[in-house]
Amino acid sequence: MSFDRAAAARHWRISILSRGGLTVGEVDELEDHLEQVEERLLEHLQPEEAFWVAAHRVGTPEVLTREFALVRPNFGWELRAQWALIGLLASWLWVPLARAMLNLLAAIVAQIPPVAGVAAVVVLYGSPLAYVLALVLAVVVVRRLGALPTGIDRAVEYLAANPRPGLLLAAVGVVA
Amino acid sequence: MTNVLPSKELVAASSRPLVLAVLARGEDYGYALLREVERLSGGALSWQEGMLYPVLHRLEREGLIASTWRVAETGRRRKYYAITKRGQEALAAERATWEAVSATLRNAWGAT
Repeated sequence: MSFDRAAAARHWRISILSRGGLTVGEVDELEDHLEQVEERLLEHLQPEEAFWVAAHRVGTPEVLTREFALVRPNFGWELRAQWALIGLLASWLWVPLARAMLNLLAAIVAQIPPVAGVAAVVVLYGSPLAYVLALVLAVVVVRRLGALPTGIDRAVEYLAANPRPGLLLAAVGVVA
Repeated sequence: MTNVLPSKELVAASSRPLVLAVLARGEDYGYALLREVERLSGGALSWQEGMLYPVLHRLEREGLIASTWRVAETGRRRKYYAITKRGQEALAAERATWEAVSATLRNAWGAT
């Protein structure tokens, strides 16, 4: 049976990330390191052996999580707090955002004479069907931009690594 | 070079000035930094590979070093670290401390 390196690397990443102590960027950096250790080992070892020895040298998920936790004991809470704030923001902004998109949609529809009447209907009966429509539109936009899931992942990671902009965003949300 | 490996505590304590000293000579990424420390110590000081990153993270949080992601020649994204002005000041302070310890030990050993 041949060694599936990509699968092994994926599993390695997940086993670290699932412990919740490291960000995606930190695991990216560790993976870069792993590859370099591996490359050197390939001179003497078979690919599968090189991978596992390198993974062991870089550190087991338990050890890495523990060592990172030593330098930032509050990380888990910070991450949870960021998620809570993002959720809160989303719940606050959702209705005004949906209404704005709805009006935009209505304005576009109003430009087409045969269906101009639909615009009025859309605005008049603005919920809940219209909100579903707006949600679908939002999902399409996000998909088009390729922002799911790694984009959001990285945005969260950025916020976790830089608490100030995250708090600023939360403050803006509270004021709004 | 002696075969006696320094204690875990000593390795941890010396990692801070060592990382700062290596980065003071120019920016670097994790793997190369580790190899450089190994080379400088003549193999007497070896860190576990992954343990360098929490140290880098802490130094970055303290504002002593700064990091940037770049694309390496292999096409892979790689994180580079550089020392900041505050880091240089911290390094000078660390150096003074370690030299004082070293001088004290030398004196003590010389006196016996």
